[in-house]
Amino acid sequence: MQEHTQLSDKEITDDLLSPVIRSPKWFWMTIGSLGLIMLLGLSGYVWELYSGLGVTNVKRPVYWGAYITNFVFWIGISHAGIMVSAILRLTQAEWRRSITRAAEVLTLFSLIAALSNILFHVGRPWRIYWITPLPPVVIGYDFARGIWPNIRSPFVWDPVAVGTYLLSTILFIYTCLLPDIALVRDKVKSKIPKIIYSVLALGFRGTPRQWKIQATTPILLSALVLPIFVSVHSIVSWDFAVSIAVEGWHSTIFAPYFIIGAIHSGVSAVACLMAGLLWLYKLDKYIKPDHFDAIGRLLVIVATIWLFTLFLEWIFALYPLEDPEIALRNMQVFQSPWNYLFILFLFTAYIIPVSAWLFKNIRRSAKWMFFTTILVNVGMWLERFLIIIPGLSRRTELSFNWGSYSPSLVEMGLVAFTFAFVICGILVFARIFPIIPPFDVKEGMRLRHVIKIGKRNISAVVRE
Amino acid sequence: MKLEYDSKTRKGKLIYPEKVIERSLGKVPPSKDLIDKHLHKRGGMFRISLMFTAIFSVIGILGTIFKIINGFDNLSDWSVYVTACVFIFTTFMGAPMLSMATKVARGNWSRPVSRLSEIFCISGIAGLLMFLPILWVLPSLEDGRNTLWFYDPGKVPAYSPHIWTTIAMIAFILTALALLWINARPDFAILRDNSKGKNKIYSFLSWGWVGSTKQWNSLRQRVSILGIFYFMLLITVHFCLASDFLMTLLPGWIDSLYPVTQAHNAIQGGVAVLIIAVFIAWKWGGYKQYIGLDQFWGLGKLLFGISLLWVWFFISSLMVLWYGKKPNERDVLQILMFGKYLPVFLGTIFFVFIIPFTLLILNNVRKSFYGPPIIAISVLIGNFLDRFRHYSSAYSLDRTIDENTHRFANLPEIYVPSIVDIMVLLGAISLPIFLILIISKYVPIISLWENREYILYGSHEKYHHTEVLVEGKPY
Repeated sequence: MQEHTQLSDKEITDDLLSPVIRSPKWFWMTIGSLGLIMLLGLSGYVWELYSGLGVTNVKRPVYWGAYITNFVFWIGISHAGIMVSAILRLTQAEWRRSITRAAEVLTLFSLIAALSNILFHVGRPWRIYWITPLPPVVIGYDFARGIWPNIRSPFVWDPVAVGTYLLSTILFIYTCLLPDIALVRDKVKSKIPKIIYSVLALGFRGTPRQWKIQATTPILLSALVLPIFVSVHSIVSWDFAVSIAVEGWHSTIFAPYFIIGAIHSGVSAVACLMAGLLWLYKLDKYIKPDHFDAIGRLLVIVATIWLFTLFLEWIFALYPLEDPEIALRNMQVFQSPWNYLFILFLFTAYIIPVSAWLFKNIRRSAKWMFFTTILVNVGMWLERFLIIIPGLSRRTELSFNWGSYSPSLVEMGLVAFTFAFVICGILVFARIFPIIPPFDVKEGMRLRHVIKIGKRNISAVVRE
Repeated sequence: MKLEYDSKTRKGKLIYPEKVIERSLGKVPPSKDLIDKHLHKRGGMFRISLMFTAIFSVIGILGTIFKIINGFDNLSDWSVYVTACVFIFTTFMGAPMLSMATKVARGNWSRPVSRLSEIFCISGIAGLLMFLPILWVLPSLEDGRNTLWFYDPGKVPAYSPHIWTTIAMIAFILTALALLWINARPDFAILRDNSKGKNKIYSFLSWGWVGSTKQWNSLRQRVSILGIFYFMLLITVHFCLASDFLMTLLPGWIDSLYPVTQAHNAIQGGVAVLIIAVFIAWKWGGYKQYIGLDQFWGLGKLLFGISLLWVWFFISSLMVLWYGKKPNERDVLQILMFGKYLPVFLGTIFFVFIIPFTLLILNNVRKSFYGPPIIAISVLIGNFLDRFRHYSSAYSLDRTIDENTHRFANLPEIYVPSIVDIMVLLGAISLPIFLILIISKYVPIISLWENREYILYGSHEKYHHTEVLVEGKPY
């Protein structure tokens, strides 16, 4: 990181706390618009609850549609937080400081959005507790009917992994947030917010002992959360891969393929979010072109590894020369509308963005990174759609009905709901807590150094 | 900057960064000690190692000749030979990856060991020599097996796996050697100006290096580009070896993750073999003041992370095959894991995962001089067992299918190596070490220029009440 603006503690506090102290002009209007989209989506859900799953286009033989696609998509996005925050923290990458909080918050809201898709998808959401083993004393009725979760089912692994990930993410965010909550507590003047922040700050006063714990806890949590991060999307991939019923799903590479895809879409979403925050909150002193450059370079590598796993998935699917698998791949690439979607997916997920990121000027431009990373996420949504739908809708030997699938209005409304919810959640979070951690940025300012070699000043960093 | 060296006549005096710095600072001396260490006569230990590895290499070559005389028709006879050849590629040839990866990630800690990792590329020559007879062992695609080349008589050559794997392997080895040479050019130039007897060789090897800004910029660019190529070729070589020389010989084994797992094994084995080399250089090579705890700690952390990743790859494959329960998948699991090869499989898990995981999780073990090398030996044993489990079972498989169950009639027994196999194994391990020892006489095993940068970019400074390391990040 060569670009650097040395700022005083006061400047940092004032800049980063200003969205928390007072609302920007655009804030309520944006929240209102997003709220409207959410309201429309939720009204669709009420309609679905009242009428049943028939209002969706999820029907025989395509039992998994837009909701499951969206679930996988948001689980993928949720990998951004840990990828950026935990890995960069463990590797002591200095450029992480301005972007970790936003990435972690993105993880939190995208995980909630992912889980909401499961609620939308199941016919009777009020029985969602059936996935947990409950003793007959609590729910005697269900147990008496012999309903007991089968721990060999991926559908039981899923909530366990995603639930653990959600809890650890909350813990991770909260732990990293403590010094900043304490800072806000000391800055706000209104009585009630002061009480709330005081309670949330858990008595953080910045004593040497508290700082010592504060410095080590996120690193420890990063190391602990990484296996969870890997397990979540692996298990989501096994929802598909352990099944042999649908062609195109039963592949051993699915876990790495999903994880790399998740990192690709997640880190792209972080870059997109950074550009958005940069414009909305005028954070150009904290989010520099160097940040986008570093993320762009990382994305070129991640995207290429992802493409290689896609290649392996395809070539090993064709390798046994089994007719159903060849028919499916033929359908995905040559039959309308899948062929158009497939081409669109390849161009948006890899060809256009990666070709663009090869140029330094594009990598360093917030505007270009914003558009290219949006393209990636369009592509990655389509990727999940193309994994799930064609295999289910294909005519097989013994199928008595088959057909295509397109999401209904209710499904599209609820997909839009999840997008609005995540954006709204991040904006509300940024209104309540600093979205760039002031304590982390201040620490970064103190750890920056310059060493002189010959006639040149070399940017340096202090390591403990 | 006025050059004092004429690249055309290759005469004159070198200007390399430390001398430029020396002039501007007036206090930094050239790495005299490292140059002396490299140029001085090797000790008895070195000569004894050289002699033993040379003898074992000859024994290995004799073993290979016996194998060739016995013929190529019986695949089972060649199973240990193929295992040994692939073992070279999944250990020695994975080591240069560390240098490439840390250069891309700008990790300062690895500078003292990066040359050692690059030197391992010479073992590729041993691997290639061992690979050549295997081209006659592997049947052509005319035998009707499924392949990734989708054989079609008249359209796709029947020897596609042989052709493409050889090309990939040669490109891989040449890229690795090119990387070594490009990285070592500044050092050759330093040695050219400081050595008496070998300056003609070093003059040739330095290829007109004068240390101009243009040359330094070009060195960094070439290393980055070739580093990426090296990584891609490593993946390609293991993709070809794992698919054409292994999976296609075990009908029903459809595992799209295995090529990646094998490439990953190569990086794991590479780090393990490098840790042992670094330990030898530290303990007996006289480089104690250049190789510190930081390097063992860094390599230990890396080995820990890679071992965790290995188990994730392994479980990802196992889950899908285990739950799929298709007849072919059950056969594959029986052959590779739960049948006759169960002890080998358990040994693999124990040495490749359980030992590294349970020991390297402790920071005291990671941050020690003796912990990582001991665990690295365990990883290498596990790596060999893993290769043996896969290649030996695939090569000694009786492909008769039971008409009633449509599964293999006979599962392969564990292949017991013959005397000739043991001769080949000894040679396969000794020949790369022999080549590494030979090349270490000409290439400094600690990079002079990287070590200089390591010293310049890191400085210990007082920070409030303590002392900290200030690390320069120049680009």
